[in-house]
Amino acid sequence: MRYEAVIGLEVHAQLKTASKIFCGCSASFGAPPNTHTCPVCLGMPGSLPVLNEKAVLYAVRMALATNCRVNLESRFARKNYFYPDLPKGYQISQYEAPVAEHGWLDIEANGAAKRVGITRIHMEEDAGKLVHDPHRPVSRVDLNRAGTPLIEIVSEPDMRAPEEAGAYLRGIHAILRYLDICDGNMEEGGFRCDANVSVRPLGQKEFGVRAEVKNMNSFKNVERAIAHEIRRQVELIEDGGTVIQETRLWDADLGKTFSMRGKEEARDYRYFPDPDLLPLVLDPAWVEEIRAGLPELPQAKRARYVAELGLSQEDAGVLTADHALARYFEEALSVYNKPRPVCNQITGALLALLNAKNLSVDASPVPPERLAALVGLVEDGTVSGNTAKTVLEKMAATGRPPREIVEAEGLVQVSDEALIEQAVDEVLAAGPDEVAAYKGGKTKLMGFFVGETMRKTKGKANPKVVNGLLKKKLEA
Amino acid sequence: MKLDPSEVLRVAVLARLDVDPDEAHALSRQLSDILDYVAKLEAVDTNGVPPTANAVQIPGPRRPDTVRPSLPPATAVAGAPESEGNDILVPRILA
Repeated sequence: MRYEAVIGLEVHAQLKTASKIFCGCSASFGAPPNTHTCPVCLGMPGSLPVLNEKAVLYAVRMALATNCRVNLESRFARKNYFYPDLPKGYQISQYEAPVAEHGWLDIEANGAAKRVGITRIHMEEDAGKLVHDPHRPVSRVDLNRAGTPLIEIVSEPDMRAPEEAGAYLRGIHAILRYLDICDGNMEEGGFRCDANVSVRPLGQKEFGVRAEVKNMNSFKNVERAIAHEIRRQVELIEDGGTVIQETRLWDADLGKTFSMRGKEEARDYRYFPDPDLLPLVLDPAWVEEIRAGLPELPQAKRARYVAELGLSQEDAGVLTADHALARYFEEALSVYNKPRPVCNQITGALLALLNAKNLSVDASPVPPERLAALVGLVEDGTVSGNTAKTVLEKMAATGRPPREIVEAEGLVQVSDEALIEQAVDEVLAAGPDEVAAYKGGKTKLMGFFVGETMRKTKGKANPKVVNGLLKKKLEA
Repeated sequence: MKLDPSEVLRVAVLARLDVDPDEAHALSRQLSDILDYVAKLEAVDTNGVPPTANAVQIPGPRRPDTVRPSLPPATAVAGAPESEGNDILVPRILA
């Protein structure tokens, strides 16, 4: 029997506010334990939460960017459960009246376009952090994170393959970064994802029983975990078993999901409206103002790069997937306005360099205006494309501008036909057998002649001129 | 409306209340009486009346996103049953 997977994602994004969602404690990451707490986020009796205006602004931005309907009146609710990282014994969240609903995101995966529905976006506070002591049977509680603002973005169960889930997640991540409302760091937990996964026989309408998979801290792991969970469920059913509704933890090292038993599963949160918080009422004019102020979003930018700058879909996709990369590209273009060669230099040599050094584009040792200058040198024939790679590496290593490196190291490309012809003649004279073979039909030897000529000229000869001269002489 | 003792015990677990089976019987009667009393409201026609969650009908206030001083960590952890330095200690949660 063939099966189909049904996947829905819940994404938690930490909002980049200065203070927490309901109090004035700092929301920053990495401070010593329990230095960002106050009676409100510690849940002391008599304290009252007051909503952070910027958290609302950010939630509305995300809602509008994902085509959601913004609810002009929404409400906060208490989600009740006991855990040591939750000082009040409840989490303030939104339940029956979230801030936004009914949105969507268009994705591309496995060669097909698809629209994934977004059920809702709601605002909530984060819990604290538990650190399990490796030496003693205790856990340490740090409440700095308790009360920091989150939005939870809940998708419809519209995805059918791990790659679709990956594309959706990358799309949501890119939008959050474009809006500059979340740092998007998956390893530090600023951007987290849980997946609801079920399988059903192909053609069946009803959903199968679903498992919720947690603890995936990279895009790659989300796809791996979902693929594994689909396989596990199909195998279980084929062996005559039944899938049970449960929470499973992904173990990236073992490449498996494991059942998470115990009180975590006693899921009865007894939601009720938080009597400490009045309804969140939005002024429609303010919402429209936010809509008008939205930046160009990844999909629009990608379409523009293709239509107006003449880039390929693929290149435009690479540049726009990461907001910082798109910004780098545009800054380089503002210095040297030739989109295709600038794009090629970025997606080729620059990304290779950054990957090798494990750097983000924001931390690029070569600033965009310098990269633009290098592209200019290639385009006006001063250096060859090959040499440009070397120059870029030297720019990264020394911080010097490209022209200085090219001049100091004698890397200027030689386009003088007379000089190159001399090298070509020497190469042909040194290899009479190869010349004969070429003339006998082994035209692949052209690569050998080009390589030899380039070596003779220490890589400085203009390859176009070299090719032209060789062709002329060999085919004469 | 009847709340049976097993439901009382289930809610007690969720609320981390230590209720023994004898108490559960007494509580189930008392809680059922309370539910019956509240259920009298069902005789009233509430069609078209929005649910009331707050006594005051005004929008919630909001504050600007500015950081204010937090408590000294020693004060923050002072109310915890056990602490060490800046850390609150609890029995180990995961094995």
